[in-house]
Amino acid sequence: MTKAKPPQNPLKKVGLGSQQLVILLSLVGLTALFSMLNPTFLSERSLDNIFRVSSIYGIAALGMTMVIITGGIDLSVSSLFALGGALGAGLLGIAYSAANPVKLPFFMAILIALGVTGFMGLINGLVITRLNLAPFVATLGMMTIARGITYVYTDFTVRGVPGSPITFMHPWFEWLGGGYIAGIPTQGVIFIVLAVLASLFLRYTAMGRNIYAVGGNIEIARLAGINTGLVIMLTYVISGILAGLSGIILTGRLLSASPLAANGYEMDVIAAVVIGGTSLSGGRGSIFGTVLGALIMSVLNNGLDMLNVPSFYQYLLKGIILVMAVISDQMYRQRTQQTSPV
Amino acid sequence: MKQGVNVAVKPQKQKDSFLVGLGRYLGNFKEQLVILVALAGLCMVLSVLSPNFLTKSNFLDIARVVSINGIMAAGMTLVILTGGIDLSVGSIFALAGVIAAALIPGSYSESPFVTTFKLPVPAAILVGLLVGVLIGYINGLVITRFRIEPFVVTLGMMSFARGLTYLYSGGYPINFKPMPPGFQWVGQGYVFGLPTPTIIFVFVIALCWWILRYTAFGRTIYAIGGNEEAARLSGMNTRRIKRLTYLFLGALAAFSGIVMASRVAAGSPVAGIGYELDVIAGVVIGGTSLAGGRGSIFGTVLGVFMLGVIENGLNLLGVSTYYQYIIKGMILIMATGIDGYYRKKRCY
Repeated sequence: MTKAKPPQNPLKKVGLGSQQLVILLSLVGLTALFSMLNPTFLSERSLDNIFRVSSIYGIAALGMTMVIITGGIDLSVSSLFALGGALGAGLLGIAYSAANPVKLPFFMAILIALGVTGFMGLINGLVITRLNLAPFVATLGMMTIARGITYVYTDFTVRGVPGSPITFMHPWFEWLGGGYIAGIPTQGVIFIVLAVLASLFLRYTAMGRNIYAVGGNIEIARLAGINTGLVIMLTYVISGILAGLSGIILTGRLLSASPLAANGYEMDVIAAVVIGGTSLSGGRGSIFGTVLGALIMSVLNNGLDMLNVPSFYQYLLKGIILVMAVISDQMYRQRTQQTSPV
Repeated sequence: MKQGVNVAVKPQKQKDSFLVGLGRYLGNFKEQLVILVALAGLCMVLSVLSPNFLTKSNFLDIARVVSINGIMAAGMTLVILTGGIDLSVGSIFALAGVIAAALIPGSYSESPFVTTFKLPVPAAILVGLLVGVLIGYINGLVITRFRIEPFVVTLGMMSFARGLTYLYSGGYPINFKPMPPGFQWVGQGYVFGLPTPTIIFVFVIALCWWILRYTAFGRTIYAIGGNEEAARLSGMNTRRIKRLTYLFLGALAAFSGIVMASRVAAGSPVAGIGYELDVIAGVVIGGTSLAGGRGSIFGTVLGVFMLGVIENGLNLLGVSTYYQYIIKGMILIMATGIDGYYRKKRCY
């Protein structure tokens, strides 16, 4: 089967449609604004930080993009974040004041942690497709369940004050959260590699195209012979694994896995995806947009922090900027006569 | 007759006879039957496991707790029926609670904005409500004027209104030295032996039921959720109706926040964080489709009671908080999953 519509714009081939161009421009604009107000914004340390934080958000947002393109939503990423981090750290068996007899090598611990979060994602997918549940409810339930499991597991590992984090030292974890590969922050490299892979997957594989087809019109996709249940399940598994990976990297950055970690992150991750131009009604969106969305979120956070804006005002500004970003995108799209999502 | 029952949710223009109306009402009811059975089953299990469950004081307690979530869920049902969503309810809840509390005589706080300027209790409550109305109106205006996804607009408003709350209160709670009895009655009092919040909840439910069933506004809400383009082309002012639903929800979320401030005798700037998910869960458990056009206020009542009974039961049984998370999530999935398993129409 050949591609349905050949792209008119060569830039579109790399996911840089006119819509992404607007987001890219606002990202450049924000960066210029912040660097004018505070020259150290463009310093190496600051950029390093932006890159690291946006990678942590961004990796989870890649999976969320696929879920949202199918027309679903995954609220459980924040809890899978915490669960992945806690398992990755706890299974090493080197936590301070640990009573945990399990001692695994680094790669085994990470693989098992990713396996568990992927399994949680599979349960999400099974509940949604087999029990016919709205993704919002299914993943809301999983959000509570996974958070509970994280609490139980960290308490079992630490045996200290309930709710206290797993703290530890480990060279590989440190490298994951604070190291470099060829001068680029480790998680940045992981993020770029995963983003390229996800982009290729969505664009050039049958399964990737099916994800768009399911989001466009599930009934037509089913009639065209696509195993829609399998496609949907796969996106939730990917989302679970990537959320777990983000959590492990965050743990590596902090060298501490708190059961409270990432509470409310699901909204930030979804915001990154939506700012990137992916439609919540499904069928439309791109990985490149999500990468830009994640960058905008962390440029915003970092810039406001560096300008010493009090956190109370940051809430106000973030709300306004989020809506403004989407309004400008929407107005641009109306002018170019594309259909609106609402 | 049977046919008429099956198409119960479709908007009807002409008035029906009483019998047809009753049939249609029972048809609606049938959709929520599974949830009702699940709720009854849950109550039965809990009453066996805990002797304190089936007591009058416990039921009044559940009714009081559920009402605060329920008042918001009633308004959220209208918004979700149009195919929209509102994530800012938790922040409106806190903002209105803080502002109303600050204006009520006897309140004090460390915040520089909480002055000695006070209003009579009803006027202070009214100001709180107006704040909710204003924020709901802005939500609706931005959504309809710029045609942006409600999810994003209200996510932005969630952050914005929370910021306003923190700024106004300086992060400090607003406490009362002597709490005026009039305000105390709103959250802690009784009417005919029932908690006041419950009476308010019943009133709000009745109002929403009437709106959805008997007013042009309500029928248009279903029409928009079913097919917005078709509704617009048949001459309905879809934008205005959508704005009104957000405005209405804003008022109810504000009211709920004021009731909460009275119940806990403090206006807290951190109140209602994460409530939006509980409220939406209540609506969706009750069988209202997030895609819009399908659902009922009766289902929402069942949904919020389901959540309230689960919470109450786990507390009565003395389950530790951590395991409560796990069990709550599982019951949420199972209770709604049974319904989904037997429903033909897919919702993913």
